[in-house]
Amino acid sequence: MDLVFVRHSISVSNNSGLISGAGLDTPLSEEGIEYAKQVSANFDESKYQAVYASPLQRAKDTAKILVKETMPVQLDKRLVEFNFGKWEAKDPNPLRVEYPDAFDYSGMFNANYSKYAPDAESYADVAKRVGGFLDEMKAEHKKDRVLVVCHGLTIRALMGEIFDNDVFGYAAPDNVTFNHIHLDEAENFRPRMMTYNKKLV
Amino acid sequence: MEITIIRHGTTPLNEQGRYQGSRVDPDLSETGKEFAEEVGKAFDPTPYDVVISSPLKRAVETAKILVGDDKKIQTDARIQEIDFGDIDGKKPGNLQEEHPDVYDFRGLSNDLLGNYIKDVESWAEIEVRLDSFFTDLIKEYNEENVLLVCHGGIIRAICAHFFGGTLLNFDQVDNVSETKIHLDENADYYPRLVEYNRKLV
Repeated sequence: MDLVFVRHSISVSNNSGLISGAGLDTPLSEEGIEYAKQVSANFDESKYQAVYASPLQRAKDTAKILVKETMPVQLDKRLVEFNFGKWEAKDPNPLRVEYPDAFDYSGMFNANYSKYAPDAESYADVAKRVGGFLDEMKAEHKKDRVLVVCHGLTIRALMGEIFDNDVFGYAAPDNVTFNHIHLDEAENFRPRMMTYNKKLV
Repeated sequence: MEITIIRHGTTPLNEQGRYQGSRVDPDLSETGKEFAEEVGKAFDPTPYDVVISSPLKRAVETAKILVGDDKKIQTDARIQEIDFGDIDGKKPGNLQEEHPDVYDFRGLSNDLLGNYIKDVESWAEIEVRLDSFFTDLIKEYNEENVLLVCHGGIIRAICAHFFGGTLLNFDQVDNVSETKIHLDENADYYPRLVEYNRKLV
């Protein structure tokens, strides 16, 4: 089984630097659509037996562009980005000043953030929901190559679950990069990192 | 502290499907050199404070192409390729048929190779030299940007060193591909995978 995780293309919120999780269904920007098309030209969708995407439009639309409308994109709620609760749509800069121990060296939320962000999903919460998605993949796509288009922090959580190690050991991948894990059925689905944060253009 | 790791360009032995470890020291092939030069055009060496290459020619030549003449290239035998003992430089021959348990789905050998071939370096032995190398590297260059140029097998071992698991959890990266690991000097050098097997052109 090959699982290829891709982070959605550039969204309108990415450009404005606002926090955008599951609570913000921001669309792809003009630049984002263009970039996804460029990547799509180098992407061979015929190698894939199934395509899943987070139902948030930035992910769903990226998936559609990548597969050039040749395959159905199955939407799965378990793939949405973290829900950042009351911090959705906020400018992170004042938050970094007020809650410095909620951020890591790269300015990204660490494990503490959900202590301060009201109604936010914790890293542990997301690990559980993506774990459910992964179990289903193992059951239904043992010999398939599957494309999964979703979100930066969610991909970190997926990696942590797949490799059974710390989510913080993975950077959030760039927009429309390829994060490919091979899990061999013959080796009891032992995970192998094939590429992480790999660009096609 | 960020560590960028590049695998050397191709050599005639790569092209002939031979084991290519620390006992063989070919130059880059013509195609190998050309491709490394293509990457060199896209590669910006200026951010790197320190450049360390495996002493084997294929790595040093690749390093020179990438960083040019302005930077000093140190060499360190602790990041040379795996020693393949009696089979180094040779083709696998019937080995895969006779001992299928040694080979994975990609035709790469695992740690059982040493059970059948004399003097092959074990994964435990590799970990000893990598631990020594990175302990010294962190001590000496703890806030710098480091560029390492080395080999396929050893890059897998470096990732296992930082992230746990074994070489089985990391595929062999492509020639002249880029892998990046960030060590947070403010968090006890906590390792984070930023890129794995990213292509540069």
